[in-house]
Amino acid sequence: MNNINQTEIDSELSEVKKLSAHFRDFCNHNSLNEQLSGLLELALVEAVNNIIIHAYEGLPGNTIKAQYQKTDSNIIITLTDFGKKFTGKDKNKDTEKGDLESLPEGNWGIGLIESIVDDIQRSRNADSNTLIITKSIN
Amino acid sequence: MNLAITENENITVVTVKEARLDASIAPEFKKQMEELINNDKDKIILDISEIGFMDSSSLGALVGVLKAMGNNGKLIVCGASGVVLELFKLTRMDRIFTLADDMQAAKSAFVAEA
Repeated sequence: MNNINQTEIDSELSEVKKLSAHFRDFCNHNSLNEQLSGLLELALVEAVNNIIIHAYEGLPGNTIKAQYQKTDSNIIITLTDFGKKFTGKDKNKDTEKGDLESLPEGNWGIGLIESIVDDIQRSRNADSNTLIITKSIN
Repeated sequence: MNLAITENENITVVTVKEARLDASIAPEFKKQMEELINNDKDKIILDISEIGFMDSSSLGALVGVLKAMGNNGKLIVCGASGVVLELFKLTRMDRIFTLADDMQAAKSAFVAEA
């Protein structure tokens, strides 16, 4: 049985908490446990932050569409934006080398998403980017 | 951005009175913390037990705070749990920050160093 929910927000960081709340409602409705819900919310927020900061370069007034789907075996989150093509610049896992001053203050987003979910698919259409992240629930 | 600040025996306790710390308020959080540090607060317990969700932008702000303290001060982060604690672990920042389970453990860590 599939359960699909969708919404959209404007490309502002202050809007992301609305998406979080909407996703939490979806998780509660589908009886996902707190640990899984929290981690998937983190993956969702990191992905949306990246869209706002990189695809839309921090500019408000643009649309981010989100769809959440629960199948018998997976949670599938699909995000669509109409900004710049994904370049993969945001990735930082090297947090243990060097002194205090050399510690990173960001760029963990993609690494976090990869750590949390089982599959990530990206595609570029004529004027939009689609990100599909899938987490097994079996 | 709501922070509750108390002083006790040269230790500054900063409690984040927010259920969510994310990219929309992380810069303000960093700014307020840096103001404290600039006012010679060099022993800080940051109580994040009321935070139920935190993103990596906020963690980055926290790293900035740690850098602002430098090697002369001490920052202990207490009360991280659930997905907030997972964020520290997934980024391996649990190896960089001093994390305490609760306020008592955080204060004990300062006493042990004295």
